[in-house]
Amino acid sequence: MESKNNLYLYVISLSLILFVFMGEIVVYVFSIKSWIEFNILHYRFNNYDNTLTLKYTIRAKRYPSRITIMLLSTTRKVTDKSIYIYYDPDYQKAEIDKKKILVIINFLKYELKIRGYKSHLKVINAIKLKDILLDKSNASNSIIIIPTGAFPENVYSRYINFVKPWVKYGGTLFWTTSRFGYFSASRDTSEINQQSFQYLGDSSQVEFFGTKIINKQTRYMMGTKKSKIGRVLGIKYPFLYGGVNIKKVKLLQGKVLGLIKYSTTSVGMIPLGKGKIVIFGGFIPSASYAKIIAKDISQIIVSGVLSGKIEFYKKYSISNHETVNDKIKVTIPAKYKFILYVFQNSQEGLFYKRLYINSGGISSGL
Amino acid sequence: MKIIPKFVSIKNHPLFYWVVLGSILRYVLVLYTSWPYDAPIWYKTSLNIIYGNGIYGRCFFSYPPVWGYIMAFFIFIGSLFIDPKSFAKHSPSLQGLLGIGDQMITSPQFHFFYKTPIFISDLIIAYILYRIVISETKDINKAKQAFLMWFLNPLVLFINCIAGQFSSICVLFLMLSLLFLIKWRFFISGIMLMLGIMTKVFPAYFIPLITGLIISMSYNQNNMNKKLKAFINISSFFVGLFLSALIILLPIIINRELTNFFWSVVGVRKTLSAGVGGFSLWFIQYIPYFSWIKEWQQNHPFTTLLSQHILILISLSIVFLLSNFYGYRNPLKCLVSGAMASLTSLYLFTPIIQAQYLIWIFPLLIIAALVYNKPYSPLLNVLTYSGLLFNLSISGFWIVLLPLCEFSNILKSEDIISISKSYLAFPGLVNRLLREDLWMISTFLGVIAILILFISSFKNLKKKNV
Repeated sequence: MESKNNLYLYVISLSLILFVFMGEIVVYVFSIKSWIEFNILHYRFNNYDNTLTLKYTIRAKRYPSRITIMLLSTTRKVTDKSIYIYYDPDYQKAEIDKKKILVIINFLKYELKIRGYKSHLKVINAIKLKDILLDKSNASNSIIIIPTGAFPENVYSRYINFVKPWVKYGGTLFWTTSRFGYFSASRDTSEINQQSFQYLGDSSQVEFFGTKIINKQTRYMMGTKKSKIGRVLGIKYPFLYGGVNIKKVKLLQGKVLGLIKYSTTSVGMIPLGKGKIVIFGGFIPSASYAKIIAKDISQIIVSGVLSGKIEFYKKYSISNHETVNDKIKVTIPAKYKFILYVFQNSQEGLFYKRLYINSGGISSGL
Repeated sequence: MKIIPKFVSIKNHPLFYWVVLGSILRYVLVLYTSWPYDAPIWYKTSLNIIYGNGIYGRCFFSYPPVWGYIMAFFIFIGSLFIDPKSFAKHSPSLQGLLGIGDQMITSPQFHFFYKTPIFISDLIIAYILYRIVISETKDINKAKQAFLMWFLNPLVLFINCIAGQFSSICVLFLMLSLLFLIKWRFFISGIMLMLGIMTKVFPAYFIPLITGLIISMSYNQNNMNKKLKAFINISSFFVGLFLSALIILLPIIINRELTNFFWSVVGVRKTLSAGVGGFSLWFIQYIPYFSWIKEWQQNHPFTTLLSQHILILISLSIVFLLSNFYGYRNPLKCLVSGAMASLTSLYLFTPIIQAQYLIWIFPLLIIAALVYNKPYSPLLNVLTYSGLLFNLSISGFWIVLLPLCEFSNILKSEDIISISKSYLAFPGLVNRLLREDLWMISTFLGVIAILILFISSFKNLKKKNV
């Protein structure tokens, strides 16, 4: 039998354990993910006047929420492509450290998962990167992300370029830091040697696109105005250091996705052959911006905006327990397919719903 | 009917008025002050938890999960009444202010909910100190003094009420673990220690001391099979330790957050080049002649890490051996000295020791001073005021008043930010900046106090009358 003197210790300990338990329950049981309900009440394709009508309802269950609805048209069926992110610790990096690369990788996995992306993110080394780039038959089903600021020398240098043919065959490439293609990384853990004969400098832009596309700015220069797509998707990455010239984006029939200032965008997409290259402005001052990049990449990939056209979007501010009923009517040729992407705008938001719509019906998978 | 006599008996408790006074003082500080470097992290973590991202989903939280669980519970209660979005205001004027990444100022409502568990643990620690001192000395005045030395300690008030850092929750788990240990309750001691480790990792450094003491206590019983007894007791402790870890981590494993957990708690810290300084031996980098040390450390991070681990390992091995040899004679006294030896080793040899870590040792100093009449009260004061000076010199005192500016009309945040910016640029007498001078003075005094404690705690462990 415990003496009365010790009883208070048991009372305190058990109360503390109870608090921890209740906390676990709150974290994993009460914080249910469905603060928002979105349902399509009715949809109809009218072949006579080429219109699509959608009626839907949104309800914020507990807290006020900001929701965006975006309807995207595309001629091709969109699938969730395999995503590869390159990181090889044995190779040099340019203008980024290991921590930020790991933040990008880790966050990207999470951001893709919560958006319901079907394919897993795979981290690949330089050898595997070369294998993927050489397998052009799968290029159109693959996305490669380069967060290291430099292609490894086994795929891109003054003498070889396995990247461009792969993109031309339909691959999608994301470039996140340093200036696009400026450096070629050696198998070495030292800092990249800017005087090395292997680095191509700005001529790599001409090598890829036939013209210089980057408007070099100072490192901390940020875009202030949002592009249309950036505003819809909530793209937050602001730096213009190695950003893309907007005129060149338009000339090459690309898309401006990020923030804008001085004719430069922080995120731009340029098509190349059947593929696309998405270029971020190249400066990541802290891990927070690495997180932002991960979120922006997943938002760009999942929304399907790279291969479709935004036909309609609307933003809603919904009070708690409020239900909004609304309707979309768009005129579009019948052969088109649609992606309806509904998402929560806030930084912490978890609500992402993607619906694939065509004349045959609605499905949640792509 | 029984409520009134019960209230009268509480009111007659010798601590009643001090608890009331301390609580009022705490909540005055709690509501309208914050540490702008940390509070936005707690805000983002809470919001993520409420939105269902779990603790590690978006990796804002870089500690083991227990503080996250406790905070989640209190914030969840708050969110039943208040929209969690209103827990903070965006304040672009903070941009450019040294080291503040998130331009966010948290609200008094948010402070109330997230700092309340810290307040509760503070109160319990003070009460446990009171109980220990009264049971060991039978002196009510000394016991009251022990209560007040913690509950109204200026650094404890600053760290827990203003900065809202959760060290005291960890200290509470650690104290409970050590108390159960000397009462031969090894299983629950293990549970409490793991709760501490899963709050903030540092209680793991107490495992050698505890193991040594369990062996010592078991071997000196009038029992035939001493080896078996020692084995059973150590096993009970480790079973408690692992069972507790399992219960804490199980939801993380089930929800497939284990990778994010390791990434947030280990990965981020491993890749961080945290630098050197604060209240460790590396403080000498604040003295102008030794300023090259900082750069040297950045170029030799592995050497720093290796020397840290070797020195701590040697110290903890000595603690293990001494507690093993002498612990049975007076387990509480051995525990106090051993815990002080473990903590001071950690302080001295870790590359960076923040001022808030100093409060970990305060309960031990209070017990040693009041129960064993050790001359530690002046050292406690030195650590208190040097820690306070160090923290206040980071961005100036005014910076903690930002919530008062944003959520009342008493002060203007622009004024506070402008004063802070002037302070940050103010030239020093010896160093380039005034704040570097203040760091030099405060850490010099603090490290001297820690060195004295380090030597004296090892001496005390070795003494035959332990």
